[in-house]
Amino acid sequence: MKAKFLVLAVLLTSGYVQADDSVGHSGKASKHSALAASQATAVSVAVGSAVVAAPVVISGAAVSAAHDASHKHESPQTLIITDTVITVDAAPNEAMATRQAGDKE
Amino acid sequence: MRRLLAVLVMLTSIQFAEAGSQAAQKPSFAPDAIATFSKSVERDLAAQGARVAILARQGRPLEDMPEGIVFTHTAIAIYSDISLGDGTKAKGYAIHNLYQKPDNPDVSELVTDYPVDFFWGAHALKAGVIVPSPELQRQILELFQSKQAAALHNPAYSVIANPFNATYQNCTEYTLDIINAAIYGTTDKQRLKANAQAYFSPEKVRVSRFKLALGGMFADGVSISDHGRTISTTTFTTLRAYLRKYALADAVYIFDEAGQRTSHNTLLKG
Repeated sequence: MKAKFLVLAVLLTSGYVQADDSVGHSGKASKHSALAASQATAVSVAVGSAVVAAPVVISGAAVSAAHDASHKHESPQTLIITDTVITVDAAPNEAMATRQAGDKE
Repeated sequence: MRRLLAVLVMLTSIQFAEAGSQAAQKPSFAPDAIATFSKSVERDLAAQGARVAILARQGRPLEDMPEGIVFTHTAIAIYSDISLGDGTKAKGYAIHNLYQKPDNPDVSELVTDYPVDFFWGAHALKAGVIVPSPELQRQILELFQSKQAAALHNPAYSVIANPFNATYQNCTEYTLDIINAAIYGTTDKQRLKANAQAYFSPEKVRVSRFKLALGGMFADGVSISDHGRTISTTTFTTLRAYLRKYALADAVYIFDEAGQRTSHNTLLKG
């Protein structure tokens, strides 16, 4: 009976967890190598590893301009975006494994 | 029989453990496609002059989601000066996330990543986007610049956290707490929860309490102990409704792989 209950519980709960996705994909070595490979094939794609990001300071004038533009249905000023695909570095253990694999080649 | 049970429990544990990370190992799309889509999302936000945006991803197939929920992860994107490993600087969006710890899903941590990281494990190249009003953007920005946003983090994680108390927190509730801290100019959690109760309407979770209770027994990151008779949680859709109701969103839409914006409400569940 206990076994049946546990099996039921397993079946019932297995579907629910699929909603859960708050897991980072930042440090995956597989992602870094895949992006590096795509960098080799696509000339336009450059990949950069981020060290730190600091929010760009916004002035009161910029807020007012954006507010006015949104109310007058004007196009706001387009912000500059780098062409480089920025990603975080792999987790330390994965970065070391990648480096060791590179040294053996 | 014991062996069978052990195997079943182990299999379940593996499924729980890989619920979020499996997609990262085997992304649903080619790296080029993910990189191109991520850059399109950035350029779309930049074209609107957005300094701050709320982004959501669809990390699971719709059929695997509880009714009424589509987006599986929500975070705040901030236009930033990004220092790169080669010493150069670049401008783009940094994404401020609350993620479960990979080795302990009951506990979360704050992680900054970038659009290609954010969409790496997405099941669909589709982004839920909310661009807050300029004044709300400025207030959110100040919270991050002053490092006060981190003070709103509660590491005790439950995927169905109750937004009306501070027992547990998930990624979307963290976003709500930041929004309310920006609106009310306070990081006082009691005040933020009281205001959430007064003005914010969460999504009722349409999964039986029995099933959720079992989920809590067997899975990390699921708890119903912070809820009363009904179980409700924060979702991207409820954030959208909240900001729209109080005229604090300039734009709300789904951005797709073709670069199209869709505002159909039927698509904006989750």
